[in-house]
Amino acid sequence: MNKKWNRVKTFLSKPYNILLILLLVTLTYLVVLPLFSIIRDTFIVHASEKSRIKQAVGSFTLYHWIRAFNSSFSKILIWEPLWHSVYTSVLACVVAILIGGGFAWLVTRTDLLWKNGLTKLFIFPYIMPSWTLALAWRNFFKNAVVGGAPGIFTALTGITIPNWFAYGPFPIIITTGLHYAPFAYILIGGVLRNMDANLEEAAIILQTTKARMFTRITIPMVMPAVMSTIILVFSSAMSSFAVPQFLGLPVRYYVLTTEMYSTIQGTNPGVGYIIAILMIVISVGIMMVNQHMIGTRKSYATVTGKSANISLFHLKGARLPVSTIICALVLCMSLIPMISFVLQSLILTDGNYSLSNMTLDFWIGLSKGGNDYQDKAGILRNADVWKTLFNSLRLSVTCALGAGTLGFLAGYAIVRRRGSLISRTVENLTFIPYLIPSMAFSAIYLSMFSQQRAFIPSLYGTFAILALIGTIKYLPMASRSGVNSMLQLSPEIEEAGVIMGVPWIRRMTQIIIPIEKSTIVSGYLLPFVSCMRELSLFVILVTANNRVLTTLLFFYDEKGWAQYGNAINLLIIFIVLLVNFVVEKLTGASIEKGVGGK
Amino acid sequence: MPRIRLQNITKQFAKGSRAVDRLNLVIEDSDFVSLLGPSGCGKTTTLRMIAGLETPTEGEIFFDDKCVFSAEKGINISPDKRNVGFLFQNYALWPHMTVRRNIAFGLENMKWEKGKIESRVQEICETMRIAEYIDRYPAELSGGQQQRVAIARTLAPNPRVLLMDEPLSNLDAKLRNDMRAELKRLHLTTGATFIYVTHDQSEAMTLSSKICLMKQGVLQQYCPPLTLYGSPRNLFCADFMGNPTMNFLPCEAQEGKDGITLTTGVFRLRFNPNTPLRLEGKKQLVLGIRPEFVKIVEEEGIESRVVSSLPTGMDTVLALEAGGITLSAVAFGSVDYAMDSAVRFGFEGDRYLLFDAETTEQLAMGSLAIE
Amino acid sequence: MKKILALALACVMLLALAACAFADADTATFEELLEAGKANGNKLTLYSTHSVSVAAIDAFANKYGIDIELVEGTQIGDNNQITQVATEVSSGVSGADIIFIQDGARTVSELVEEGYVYNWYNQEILDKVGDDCEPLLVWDYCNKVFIYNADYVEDGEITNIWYCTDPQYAATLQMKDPEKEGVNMNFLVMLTSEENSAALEEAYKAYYGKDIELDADCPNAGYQFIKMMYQNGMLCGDSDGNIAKAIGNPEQEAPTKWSALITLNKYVKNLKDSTVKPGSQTLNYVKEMQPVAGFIYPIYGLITANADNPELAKAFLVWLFTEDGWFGDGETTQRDGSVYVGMTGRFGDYSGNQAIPVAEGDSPVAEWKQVLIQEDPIFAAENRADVEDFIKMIK
Repeated sequence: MNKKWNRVKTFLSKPYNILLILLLVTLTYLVVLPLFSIIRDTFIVHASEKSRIKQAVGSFTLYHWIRAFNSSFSKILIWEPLWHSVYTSVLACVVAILIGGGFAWLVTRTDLLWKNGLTKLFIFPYIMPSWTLALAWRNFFKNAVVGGAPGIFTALTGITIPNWFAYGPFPIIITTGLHYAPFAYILIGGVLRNMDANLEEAAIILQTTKARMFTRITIPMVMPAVMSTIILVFSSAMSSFAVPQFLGLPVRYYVLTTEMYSTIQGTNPGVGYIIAILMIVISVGIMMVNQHMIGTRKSYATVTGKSANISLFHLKGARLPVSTIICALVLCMSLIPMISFVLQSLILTDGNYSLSNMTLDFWIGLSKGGNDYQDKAGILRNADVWKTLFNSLRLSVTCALGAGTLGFLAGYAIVRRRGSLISRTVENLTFIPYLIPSMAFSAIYLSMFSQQRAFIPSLYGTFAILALIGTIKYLPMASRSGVNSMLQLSPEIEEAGVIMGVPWIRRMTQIIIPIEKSTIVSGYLLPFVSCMRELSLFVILVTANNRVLTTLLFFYDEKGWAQYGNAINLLIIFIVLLVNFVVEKLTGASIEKGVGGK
Repeated sequence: MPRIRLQNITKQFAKGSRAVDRLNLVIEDSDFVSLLGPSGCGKTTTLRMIAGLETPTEGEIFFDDKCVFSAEKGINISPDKRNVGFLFQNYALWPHMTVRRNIAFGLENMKWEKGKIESRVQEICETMRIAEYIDRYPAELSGGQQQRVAIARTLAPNPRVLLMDEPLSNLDAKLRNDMRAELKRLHLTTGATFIYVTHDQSEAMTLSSKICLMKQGVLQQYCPPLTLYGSPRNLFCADFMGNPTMNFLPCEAQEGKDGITLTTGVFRLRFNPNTPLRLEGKKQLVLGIRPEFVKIVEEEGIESRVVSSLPTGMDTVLALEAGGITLSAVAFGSVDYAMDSAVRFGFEGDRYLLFDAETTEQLAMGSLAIE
Repeated sequence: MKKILALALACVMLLALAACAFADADTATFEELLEAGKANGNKLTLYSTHSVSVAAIDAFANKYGIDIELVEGTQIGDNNQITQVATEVSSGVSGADIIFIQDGARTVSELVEEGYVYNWYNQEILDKVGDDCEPLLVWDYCNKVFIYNADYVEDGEITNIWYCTDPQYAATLQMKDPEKEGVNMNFLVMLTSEENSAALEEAYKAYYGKDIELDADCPNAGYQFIKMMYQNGMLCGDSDGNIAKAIGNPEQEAPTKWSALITLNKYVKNLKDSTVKPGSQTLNYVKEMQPVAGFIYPIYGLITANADNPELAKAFLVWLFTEDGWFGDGETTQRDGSVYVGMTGRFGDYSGNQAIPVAEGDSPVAEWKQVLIQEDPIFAAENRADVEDFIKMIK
């Protein structure tokens, strides 16, 4: 007995053990328990389902499961959105890889002109919120049929855009693909840039033709990067909400996320929770496929080598035309969307882009009353917008501090006890939120925290629930970087302190933290920027009193207040770019590095 | 088998530095030539220019009488048309192909028949003793095995010329020795021309039929290894070759009737050149003495103190101090000397070298006596 | 069986509501409520689907010197608002004191029946509003009527609602997606009532000159109408404002007989010769149509069960039914400094207080009620799920 007690005492005398236990308890409560809560929610009647199920609110029912999988509605509620999700995500992957990979090849392997500027601009869409290109697409190509006045393109050329081009799968695929193309570029370009040139030279010497070289050597070599791009783009596209909401809904093209949103906000949340579970299952499946592929025999660990001066492929006569086309494409992805937002936020009457039709009132004007176009004050003097902006910043800072600190401590504790069961468990727990698509995660939190649970009151509509979900959702980013950096820091550094009798808090603040400063800062940056541009995580949790900029944008857009919406969108982009720029200048950490580029 | 001729080859990189400066080189058929030099001397660049992987800025390259590159005439035959084999420092095995696919890949490119490819792959794998790993991926092989696969891949198409870029530098010492022997054997059996880049002088010594020693892009000396060792053209060559390195004694010279009197520190030595030498007023010279020519003697000679003694079992490298000058010497056999003990040394034979301190050029070889 | 039970339940509800009708008009006056409210802390939180009520609370606070920092007015769509109010009240989170909400069907079933909000009025309101105090107090009526592009559709061309199903008008009708806006869905639900379906049957004969034949999946003419309208390519827009701009777009490639079922208010905002700048469109609307020319739905003003300051909320409600509350007094300003003008000049909004005049050129609410379908929250609540599912299937 005494022996056991002593063992417990020894165990608890190590600060990292206490940290691990605290993390285990917290994460179980915030990550595991909610999973059960959402399952329970698929078996009960919600208030909005009363007239549908005709049972008391909260009573047990199989209605949702039957309706979702064994009724004439299954096709509309589940299978069609699922197919749409898979279809658009797969093709978005193709677009991202063709554009991003193609660009990577052009930049690293040919004598393309203006490489420096082009690569900087090409990264742009990735820093911006995911819906940027979708909104820009709509600004350009919306047609009179579904969305008010025709867009800029029709106004300039007089050509009417057909529905399939303006809305539905086609633009969803293109805009999602382009948004993630920078990711493909960073990953594939990284491989191409660091790939041992000898591998290709060996093939040249052995008389390999250009075509065979490309298909048999270059492509297989970048395959692992392509696979990680596919995994990432596919799962991001599957969980993307804003893009299909903006571009799919006008033609009733539903994907899983938008269907989930409409059921949860509508009269059948039970089915919405089932969709959330379905999305989690898919996402876990993708991760397992990924794990499986990493474990195969063809190891690429030796891919990088000393990079000799690779002889560039000469585009010769095509150099100028190709460079011009690429330049145009890059501008379409980066600067032109911004211009469209500016234009849309200035014009009085839709579809008329003459100077006489422009005004700054939507930015700085006064409200002109309920009967005018301009029934709200311009966004820069609108108290609501300022309140929301402040709330957004507060939320992003909170989530960044929360996720960054927790992630760093988790990294520390996990690495110190590496190999033990508790360390593995905590490591896996910190990773789970990554597997859960944002909207499904918020559905879980909605179901979990909209009631009083034990000593925790209902958090619905509070700032706390947003801060909580943001912290937990971004924890994987921070804990990953925490673990990686702690692995590189040899334990001797801390042990030297232990021998001299320095207490734990001082060891952390005086030794570990100063050494790991830059990692910690980037552990804060990524959650901050992600939070600033997050929509799908917050959209069903936000209430009127706790709006953030992104949900305000969404709300304005739903209401059809195009000018105000575009102005707010610019505001968000401006803040994200500003923060990114400042932090990059200050610390050298950048989004680009965060996603694994070099 | 071809004769390779480099004429005035210059490679200038964008930043303005000259990697190779007006290099003239003739590599005879079936030679085993080492391109030797410290890192950054332009040896790898030269090799890559011969292969066609790098484009020279100036000059011409001929395989036999066929011009494969000429800056003036704008000729540049691509690497795949030069019929060379190239062995890379890090092997450059394609990680996504098995050993078999790695080797067969080039043969397929050359449109070999299927059956012929198979038998050739089998044959070369047996020669290189990797037949049992034939269906493995490179990542599943050890460094030495990867090296063999790389060689097999390079040799499979029977190249007329085999270019090798420090192929042994990633191996551990023992494997490296084994592979050296293997390479030498291959050179004999294939009869191909070998051009070999290395920074390791002993590797170059042991392998090559001729060494081309380079420094900062400029050819220093091109000759058989023993000539390079025994009669280096300048101080750099003398210093680069040999381990332990040659002793250099700066000295003042005075021409006399029977040879040249050299004054270094407290010693006066008499140097007898093997061929007539006229100093023409040069006074500042450098005397070069290989450690093995510092003979330990029982009597006479100069008395010195043992500063360090490093026995290997086969021989012992000594550092001797006498009159403020430290010399390294080699004593053959299993002997050891106590620290600070006194030994005597003398000079013998006619392989002592005299260099011009100013130009660093070798002036003469000759015998040495204590005055 | 279930259905009968539910129907019985609804009848009981209705009886209960009717029985207490007008008996419990609060005797408290505006002044008393205002004093009590101010004494009870100055904070007042409002959720509303209507932007003017948000502006109004600003003006109200300014006018009566209530600490403006503490007053919140927030515009939220109906679906979000119902979820939010239900969750907040049921879990005891402090949220709105007063809500202005449309979509009677969900309001009744999810908020009133569950006891999350309650209906309140005093004698002052009763005197002004009368019948519309029950079952839920109507603050504002809004109407959605058929509006068309007068360049391509002739005046008097549209006279029968079945035109929506006529191939001649295929893919020319627009409407905000009923799945996104409850009142639109309620209108479709109301079409399936016995009375309206009978009227539709009659109108069908008048339009097509033959008796209606019901498809197997259509229980009555209402369902048949919905099905044919959807299958005739009705376009679901995302907002009435955008739809108004779309159908009135003056530079059309191919002249199309655009029409839409949207609020009259958006019609005025986008009219070319509107006094309120800057619309550019030639629009007109239909007022006489067989059997109905659209629908009219109330926005209710209700007090939440856990209101922090119900007195102040009630005072605000009373004030809203005065002319000052509706139009503004010409001097009270809002938070951003602009003068509160309320519903001045606004088409398509009609106060529950019928003594308040409608905008010049618009018709009084009584007249509209004659030609438009009214929302019966209890019927709509009862049949909403059926119609929603029906629409999911036919799309």
